[in-house]
Amino acid sequence: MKEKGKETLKRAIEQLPDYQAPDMSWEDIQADLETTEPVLQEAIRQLPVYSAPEGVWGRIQRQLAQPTLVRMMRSPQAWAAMLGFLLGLAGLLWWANLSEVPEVIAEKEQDAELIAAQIASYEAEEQALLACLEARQADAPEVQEARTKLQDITETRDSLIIILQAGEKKGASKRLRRMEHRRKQLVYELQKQMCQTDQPEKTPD
Amino acid sequence: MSNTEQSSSYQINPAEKELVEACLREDRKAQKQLFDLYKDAMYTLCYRITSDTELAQDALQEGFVGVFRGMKNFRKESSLGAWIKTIMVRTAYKKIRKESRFQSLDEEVAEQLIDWGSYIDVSYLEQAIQALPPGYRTVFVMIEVEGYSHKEVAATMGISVGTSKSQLFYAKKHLQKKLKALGVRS
Repeated sequence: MKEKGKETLKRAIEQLPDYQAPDMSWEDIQADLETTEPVLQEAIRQLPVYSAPEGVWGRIQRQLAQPTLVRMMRSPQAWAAMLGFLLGLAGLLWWANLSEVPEVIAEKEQDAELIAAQIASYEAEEQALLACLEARQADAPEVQEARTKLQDITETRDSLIIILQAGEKKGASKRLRRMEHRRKQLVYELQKQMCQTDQPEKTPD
Repeated sequence: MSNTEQSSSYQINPAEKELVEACLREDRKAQKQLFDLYKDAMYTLCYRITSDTELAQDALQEGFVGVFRGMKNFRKESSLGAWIKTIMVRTAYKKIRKESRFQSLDEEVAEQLIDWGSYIDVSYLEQAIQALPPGYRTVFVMIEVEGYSHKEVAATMGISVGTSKSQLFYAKKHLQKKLKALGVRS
């Protein structure tokens, strides 16, 4: 290491001031000395060492061999956390039952009533149509076409009813209403086409 | 140098290093070897702090389980014994913490002289230590018997350095009074 003006630094260091030790310093040293009073220290040095009880190692070994989950289940904190979670969950379910379920049940009952009313409203006409189709030649193309049309629209309607019963209400109710309207129209139309041709037309009085 | 405030340049001896590494691999034989090496010293420490053989036994067990599970946290900045001792002190103190009461130091009382005389009977000293209130006893054992500093005691027990000093003073006053009552001190 090369230095220039080293003497200047040395002189400056020599002139650095000395500071007075705080009064507390000796008191601290004295206090420390007092804690190691020879008589007390001598007696402390002679205090006995006790033998660890038998069986401790066995318990340590068993505890170390426990899987983490078992260890967690043994801790009171884990049980408290689990109890808290279960209580919270029960509270949440209770609240959900109180606030939502009766409403949902009421809505479902309303939907079922609506579906039943719509289906039943043209049941007589449908039964008459089916009886009429039975009476006609089964392999006639117009009969087969009429049956297929009715079957297709019935299947679509039944699917919508299943969707509604499963609680998927978004749009299904409206579609069912439309579907039932079309089905009802089809039943009347087919009845008119297939069944009324055999009967003499009513003449106005 | 105090118990845990050792130099960061502390060199762990090869045998100790080997034992630590085996314990890190969860080698049960090595763990047993370590337990056997320190069990009596640590049981004695736990008993001095708790003043109860059952609590001391529980602390010994919990402490060693903590030592083996926390071995990866041993940074080799102090001796293995000092590190184990710190864990034991914390574990034992936890057992009696609820019963510990700390008293602030009265200036006038602090001026009083504690005279130990010329002789103390060791067997009675043990009794007198066990008779100390839990908070005083822990501070006394840690500082006078185990050689911890007030700073280390404060950190371990979660108290201030001033509280540690005042508890030591009261512990000594109690001890002196007890020894005098037993008539074993000249």
